[in-house]
Amino acid sequence: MKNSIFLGLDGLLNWSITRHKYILPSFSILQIILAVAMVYGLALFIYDIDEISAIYLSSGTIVMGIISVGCVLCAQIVSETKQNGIFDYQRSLPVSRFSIILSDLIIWGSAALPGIIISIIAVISRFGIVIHISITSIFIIIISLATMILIGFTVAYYLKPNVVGMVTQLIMIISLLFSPITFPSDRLPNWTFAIYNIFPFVPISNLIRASLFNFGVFNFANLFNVIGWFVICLFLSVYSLSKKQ
Amino acid sequence: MNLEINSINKTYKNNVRANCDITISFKSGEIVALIGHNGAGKTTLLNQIIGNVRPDGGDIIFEGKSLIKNSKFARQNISMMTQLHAPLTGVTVSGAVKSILRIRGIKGNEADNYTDKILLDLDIDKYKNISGDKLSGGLRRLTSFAMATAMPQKIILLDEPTNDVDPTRRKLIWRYLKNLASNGHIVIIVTHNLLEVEQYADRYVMLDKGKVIKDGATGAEDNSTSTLIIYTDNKDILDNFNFPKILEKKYNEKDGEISMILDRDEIINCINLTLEMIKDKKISSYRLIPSSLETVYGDMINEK
Repeated sequence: MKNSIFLGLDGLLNWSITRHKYILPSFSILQIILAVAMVYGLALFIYDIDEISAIYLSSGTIVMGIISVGCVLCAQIVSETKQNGIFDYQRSLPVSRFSIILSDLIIWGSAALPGIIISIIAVISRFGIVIHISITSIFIIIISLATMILIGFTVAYYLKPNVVGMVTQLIMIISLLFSPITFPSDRLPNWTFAIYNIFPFVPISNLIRASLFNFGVFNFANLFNVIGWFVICLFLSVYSLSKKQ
Repeated sequence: MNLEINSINKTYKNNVRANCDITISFKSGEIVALIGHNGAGKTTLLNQIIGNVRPDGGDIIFEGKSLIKNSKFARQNISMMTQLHAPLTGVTVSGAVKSILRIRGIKGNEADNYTDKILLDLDIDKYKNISGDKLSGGLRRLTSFAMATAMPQKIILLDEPTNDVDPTRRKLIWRYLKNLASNGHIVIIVTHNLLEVEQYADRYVMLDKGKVIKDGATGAEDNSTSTLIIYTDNKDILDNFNFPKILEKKYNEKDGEISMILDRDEIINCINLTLEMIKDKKISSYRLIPSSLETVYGDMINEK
């Protein structure tokens, strides 16, 4: 264990839970409120919701929840750790750099799960859509959540705190308004395909629709895109923690 | 068991020279104080030892291994208290210490015992169930100290551990460090408190602009001179002190203070004259102190 990449993981988890024992439940409650508000609130924009719109809105709610956890909340929390010295403090501890990332992934991922579960319940209750819980759909949710959190870490590790806030807001607005996450892609001009197929947000929404809602084709190109972003951001995050000044 | 710093250099990206050809050896059983102005390179040196800052050249060797090439080995053998407080928001004092012990592989009753012991040693056991965000700056500092030293590694690096700490507990910190040193640890402490360095450290290394300008044992300063400080609003009385072996005279108008560096032979004359002037109400009070590290420090930095 002394040279394991998991060195110090249980201690770090324990420490994070102890430090965040008040923030974590608040974080989960916020996710739950966001999920319910999106399912019921966004539905108000559309007068007569057909089945396809309902599926897009439902899957979009789950994806937006995942994006808001990873790219907005986690990015801002990690950015704050850089300002208040926790980042440097963690770097001086006898733990593997991977363990630092993994413990944060586990903590914030777990805190986001209640929001995702409530989104699913809200979707069923509001639209009566059948949800397909399977190993594939659970895997897609986990890899999507982990990827978004790692993007949040990467943004926070590499950008200055005042820029982090701007970038996270930009991701959220573009994802919500200009990406075919909560609506079909044929509503956008063709040239936008080239942009949003590079980023993982739309591929995640396609994967969630295909696996959890059994709507559309499960496209492996989408999965490779998400896994690619996961690997790149994991590497960048570990590199940032290992990098010496 | 020595920690050898060999010719290390560091220039940051903004062209700030943090250290310049530093070579020092730290022995186990010794408390070494790193002193010098802000920006002298003290904290950079600590960060280089633990592996958070990479020197541009040179090496740091411990137990035959390069700490620069083996950061993991460095972190496993070093306990460090950083300049900023350890993260304590939402964590009780004992919870914070136990968490760090758990990270170091100590759990259960053993962690409880280590925690209770250090909190008692630092006289902060009555705060053990208080959340870190409700503590004063001094108590936070003490908690950070406890986190770093509850399970001390072979090398202990401390960045200004006594800042904001009350005088009684400062002594407890130093006593604790003395014990660690006598148990064979290498203790390196960055501090601006020269009085404490004189009292408790075994050795001091003075840094200025990234260079070592003095490396010596404490208490070995030149004691052939003393400093006489006179408190008065009357600058003119300085003219009365015209004895031949007064080495330096200064008047600080802002503080209403005359300071004179006296040769040992001139002390009696100067004190007698001072007492006469106190009787005549020309001087309100005086202070005579031996040449201290502070004097050496001032001289060294001024010479530079």
